Amino acid sequence: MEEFADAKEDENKKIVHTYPLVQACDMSEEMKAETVEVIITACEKYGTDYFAAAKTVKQMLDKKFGPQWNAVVGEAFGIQITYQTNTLMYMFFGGNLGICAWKI
Amino acid sequence: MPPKLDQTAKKATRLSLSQSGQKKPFNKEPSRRQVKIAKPVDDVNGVQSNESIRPDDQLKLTEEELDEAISNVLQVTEPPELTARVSYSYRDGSFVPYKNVLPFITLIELKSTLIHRQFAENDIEIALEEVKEEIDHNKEDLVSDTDENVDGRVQEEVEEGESEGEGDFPNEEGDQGEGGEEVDEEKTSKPKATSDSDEEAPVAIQEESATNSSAKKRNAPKKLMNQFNFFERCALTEEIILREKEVQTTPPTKNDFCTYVTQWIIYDAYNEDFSKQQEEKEKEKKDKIAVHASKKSVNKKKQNDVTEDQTEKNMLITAKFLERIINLNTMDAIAQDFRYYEDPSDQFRGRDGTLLPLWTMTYDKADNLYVTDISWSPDYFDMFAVTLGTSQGHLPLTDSPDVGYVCLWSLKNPSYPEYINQTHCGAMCLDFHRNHGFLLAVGFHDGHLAVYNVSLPTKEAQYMTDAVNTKHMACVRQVVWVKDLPDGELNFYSISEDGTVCNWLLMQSEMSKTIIVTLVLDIEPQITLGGISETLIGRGTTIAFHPENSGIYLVGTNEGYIFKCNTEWSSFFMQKFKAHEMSVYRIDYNKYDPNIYLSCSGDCTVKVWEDKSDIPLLIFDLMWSVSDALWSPFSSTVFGVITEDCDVVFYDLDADKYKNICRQPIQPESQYQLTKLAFNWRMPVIIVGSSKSTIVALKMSPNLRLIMKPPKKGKHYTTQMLELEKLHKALDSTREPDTLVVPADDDTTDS
Repeated sequence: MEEFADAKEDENKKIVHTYPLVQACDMSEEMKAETVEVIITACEKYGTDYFAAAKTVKQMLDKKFGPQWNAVVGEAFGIQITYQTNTLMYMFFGGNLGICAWKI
Repeated sequence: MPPKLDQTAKKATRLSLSQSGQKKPFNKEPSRRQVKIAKPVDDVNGVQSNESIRPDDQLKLTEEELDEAISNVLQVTEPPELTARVSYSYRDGSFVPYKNVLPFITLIELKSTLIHRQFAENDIEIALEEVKEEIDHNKEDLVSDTDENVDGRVQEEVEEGESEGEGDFPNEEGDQGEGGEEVDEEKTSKPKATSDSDEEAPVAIQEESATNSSAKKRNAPKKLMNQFNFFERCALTEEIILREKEVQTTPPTKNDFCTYVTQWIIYDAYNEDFSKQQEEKEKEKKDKIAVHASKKSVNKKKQNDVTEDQTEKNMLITAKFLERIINLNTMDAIAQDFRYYEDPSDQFRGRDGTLLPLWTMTYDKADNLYVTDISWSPDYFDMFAVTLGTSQGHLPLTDSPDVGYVCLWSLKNPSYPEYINQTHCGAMCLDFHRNHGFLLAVGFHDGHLAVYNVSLPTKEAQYMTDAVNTKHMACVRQVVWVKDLPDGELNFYSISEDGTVCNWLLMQSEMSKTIIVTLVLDIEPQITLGGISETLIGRGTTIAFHPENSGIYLVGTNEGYIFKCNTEWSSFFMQKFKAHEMSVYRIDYNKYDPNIYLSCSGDCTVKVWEDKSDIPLLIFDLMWSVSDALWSPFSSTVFGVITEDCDVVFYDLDADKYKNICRQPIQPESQYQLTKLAFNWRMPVIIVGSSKSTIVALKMSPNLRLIMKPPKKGKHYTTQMLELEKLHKALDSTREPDTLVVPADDDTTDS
């Protein structure tokens, strides 16, 4: 019985977090807030269409902060990049998405 | 004219053209001569060149003549030219001379605008200038310098011999030719003289040398300016030299970043962040309490000092415990009295009673302050809180700072307060919340209000009024907690000398203020300032809420008025009457019958009132200013009064309406005043506060708390009913005449 109870408790503990979680960012506060906003908007809009989401993120950031942004949206990936300082945003969103945006 | 002649003329023309191209500057003279020489030679030349074939009409020259060196001049000729061409005319049936004798056909003719270098204008101009000098000794030069070119002259010469009107040449030459004819004639005369002779060459050489010398003369001195590309030096501005310039900025700094994302990494990150958030939340909660606990850094420091040293804390607890034990030992007799002593002499005194002094408690630090209010704790019957401050009407001495204290005393430890809280100015009143015994509302001399939580280690107020917006304008005289609102929000009322009754609602972090009523007096002001008559406002001194109907309350003012108000209406008084001549110090509802209340005043009287009546039921004159009066919670007819001359007086309406049943001086010294009185709600004990910050606990003898006992036989009356009956019985005699007057002595005989 105790085991059951424990198992149940464990199950209850598994909460799916979906809030945006910024992992690495060296932007200014204002820019950071805007970038997070852009990313959330794009990811929420396109759901599982990561390509479209990444495209939107890139375009919107280009529009906002000048050209040559790059964006990666995906569930699993690895990147090694060189970016302009103060333009990196690496965050998780929706519980299963990793998003990285930076400027060359 | 035979065509031959025409041909030769043409030949000569072309010849001279070619020669003129080879000529050196200013050698026009010899060229013309050569042409003229060439004319007679022309025919001969053609023969000479072909020696092998000798036409018959060739001159027969001797060997010597042949050997003679003749300077040869190159000429362009057309040797196989036919001299007498004929064509057969079928019409005539005979040969006719071929008319069209020209050996060439003019395909295109372009008039050149170019001037040969040697004939350029500068040269001509120079020449013109020099000609003026030389005009005397060199006529030929003059001739040559006229605007004729050599071709034209040759042509003219030819034309002399030929018929005019050849269309090959421009007309203007012909026109000019007329002008130059005279000169030509002169010219021709000279060459003709030399033409036939062998001296031709030497003459030419001579001529050449002469012209050369003249040419040298002309060349030497002058230089004309360049007309096509000439600028005055002074008109030249500085030339702006364009240069290319490049600047390179430092490239933007770059960083490297690498990571990889998988589902479990995201999951872990979220978990970590979530746990962090939870921790922060807990921390915030703690911080909130801490902020409540200590807003000022100074206090924080003190607190830290205390909390940091665990051993010190332990020691404090031990010391407190020790103090308690010692007190219990030394005060054992008093403690026993407090609990068990009942004055046996009461039996022989009729209805009179006595007060047994128990403890005298003093907070030494504040021994010159007044006890301004006393309130028993609702949770512990042996604990009470007092406020210390300067009394109303007594301004703080200028040399002593305006301070106040809130102290919690326990009867278990009468030597030192359990809790001391120094306040920024004199504390005037306080009240324990009935359900939350740790919440203490305190009003201050300067109009501030604060709520303390005495269970917290901090001395900082949980809520404090804003000095600018919310606080009262004058001294706060009384605070009363009332029933919580339906949604559980705590609220209390305060009355201040600025004439307002306010309700205070404890919100999350602040108190919200609502002005319930302003005590407006309907008196015409005697003095008007500058024609502006201010409405007079009563200075509230005390407030008492109806025990059953929480919306109704009574307010006493400094002017002696009593207002009966309802919390629902702010602009309207249910009742307003002049109760006293001087300041009303206390209004207290009877504990058993809410229709009966008493008021005490500075005019030495205590009056008992019935609700809705402007006329007091009873008036008690105490010959001395009454600072406090309260109904006893034990008996419906008993109330206690304290006067400023240090007497505690008890009346029992049931026993005697005109005479007190107990009058006991508390302090013999005259500079003392009694300020406040409080009945314990459980034990027959009262505490009395004085103007020297001393608090005296007194035990009431049995006679002062007689309770009606239900009769042995008869119905089962509750004490409540019996007490009510007793009270009404006592008061019936004093009511309006229409009610039956019961003799007072009947009551006494009953008991």
